[in-house]
Amino acid sequence: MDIRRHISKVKRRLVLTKFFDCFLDSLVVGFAISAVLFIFGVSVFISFVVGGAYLFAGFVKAVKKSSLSEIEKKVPGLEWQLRTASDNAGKENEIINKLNEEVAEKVGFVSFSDLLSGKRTLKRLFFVLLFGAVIFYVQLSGFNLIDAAVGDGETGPVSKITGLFSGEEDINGKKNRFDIFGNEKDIEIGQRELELELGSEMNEIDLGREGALGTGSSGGQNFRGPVGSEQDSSYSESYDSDEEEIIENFYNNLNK
Amino acid sequence: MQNEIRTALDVKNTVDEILEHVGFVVVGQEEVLRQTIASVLCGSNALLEGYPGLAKTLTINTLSKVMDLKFSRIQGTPDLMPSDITGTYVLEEKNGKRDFVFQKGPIFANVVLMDEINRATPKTQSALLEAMQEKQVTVGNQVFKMEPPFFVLATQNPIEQEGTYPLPEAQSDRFLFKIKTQYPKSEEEMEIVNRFTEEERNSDSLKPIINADTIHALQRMVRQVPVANDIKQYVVDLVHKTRKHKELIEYGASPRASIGLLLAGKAKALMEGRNYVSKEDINEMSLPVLRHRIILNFEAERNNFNEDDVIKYLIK
Repeated sequence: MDIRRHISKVKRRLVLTKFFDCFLDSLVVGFAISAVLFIFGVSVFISFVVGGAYLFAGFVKAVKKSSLSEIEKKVPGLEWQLRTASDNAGKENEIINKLNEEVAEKVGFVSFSDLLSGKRTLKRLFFVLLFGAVIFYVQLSGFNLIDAAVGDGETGPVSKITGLFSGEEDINGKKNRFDIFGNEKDIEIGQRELELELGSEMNEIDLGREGALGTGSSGGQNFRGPVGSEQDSSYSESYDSDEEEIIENFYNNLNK
Repeated sequence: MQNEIRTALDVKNTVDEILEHVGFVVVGQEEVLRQTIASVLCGSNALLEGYPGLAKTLTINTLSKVMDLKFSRIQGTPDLMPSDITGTYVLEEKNGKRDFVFQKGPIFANVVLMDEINRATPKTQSALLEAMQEKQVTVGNQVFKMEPPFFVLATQNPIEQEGTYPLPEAQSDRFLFKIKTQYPKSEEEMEIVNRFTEEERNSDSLKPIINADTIHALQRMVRQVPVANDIKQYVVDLVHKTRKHKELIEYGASPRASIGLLLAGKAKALMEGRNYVSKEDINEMSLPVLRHRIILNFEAERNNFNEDDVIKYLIK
């Protein structure tokens, strides 16, 4: 009987289990990083890179560390038998042959699930689901932690956390009624409602028309007076005769 | 009588049958019996230590009967001479011609029970050395091979040390096991009392289960038991530890202990019907294999540690 073939078979199963283990690990890591990145609204591409690197490094390490004793621990009926058969493969006597037969028979019943750690797998699946749920919620609600950045204290939050179910109040202490894009028509500042009437007749000013300003109104008050400027006759330059010479010299020097 | 022993399961059944038959005379002492049988399967010698009256001699005597082996008994006394064991040349007259003829001593048997070995002088004890290790005796210029299977089962008691000669290290190393016999449990002692006061039972009524050929085959099988490399390494590491722990052990075990421990593990596995040796086999056999091969230092003795305590500590 070629016991090596049976041992190789169970070793391959162990490697496959290791890959599955590492895949779940990398999924947990990738989902965890993705969840954080989603919360910050940053691209999740890096989580794929980290998850992939984790899978590769973890798998290489696990394969290097994997040994027959691991299988023996998971399948108690094989304890010491598998290693003994493996170490004595090629030797032949009645006892070894009998051992090889027993090992080959037991190895045939070792399944993928026997080599998996049930508790550990369940734990990792739980974390995958948990992080998946976080990502789902963040994407659905459009939650972004950057929106929730806090101001200098005097002015209060620059922007409260907004979005579905946020329930946050705005700076006036009122429930938030506008979303992150500000898509809300009624904006209240203080307690007073502002009406902005742009393009109304009263605000039309035709600067090219004579007397237009005289007839127009601004804010309900008439504006009277000509457009342009005149010299103010009230202005006079008067200075002392002592200073006259000094000033004359200054201008003469300036003209030079 | 068992003839066809081919598998480990056959060995287990045979051993169980031997124990059952010996149990007809000897009450309890199953561990002692198992270790003695393991010693026989390894083709090695064993030293039984225990207080007087614990059926050491009866156990060995009964075992040799069940195994259909030639049994001889030597009582260790201070005036016992080497020639009393090995035999000597005697002048014999045949057809008017006188010639020296070698008269074989009691050592020429399959099972030699050396009772109270520590009462014999070191010179006499040494006479056993060659026979125990080389399975031969040299008298004068002639070498006499022992008839296989051959093993010496010696007894000694730990008390009454006055007038005794503790075994030299070289000799105690030649015993594969030092087996400690314990006092029987209360219910066992009640059985002993009933059995030996109401009816007469002795080993003469026992029928042999196996013979020398079977033992020879069993000894071959023991050596065929495969061992994992991790187990071999574990054995070597354990024996190395006895040399490294200088805070407890003055002198550690020799490489002969490594060989003996692995062989004992194989025998134990086979006796339990297994085709492989486990770590538990080694741990269990390490006590009888190592306890007479280590010498504790003053610090260990000051702390009231005995050899078994130290070996258990090393295993942990």
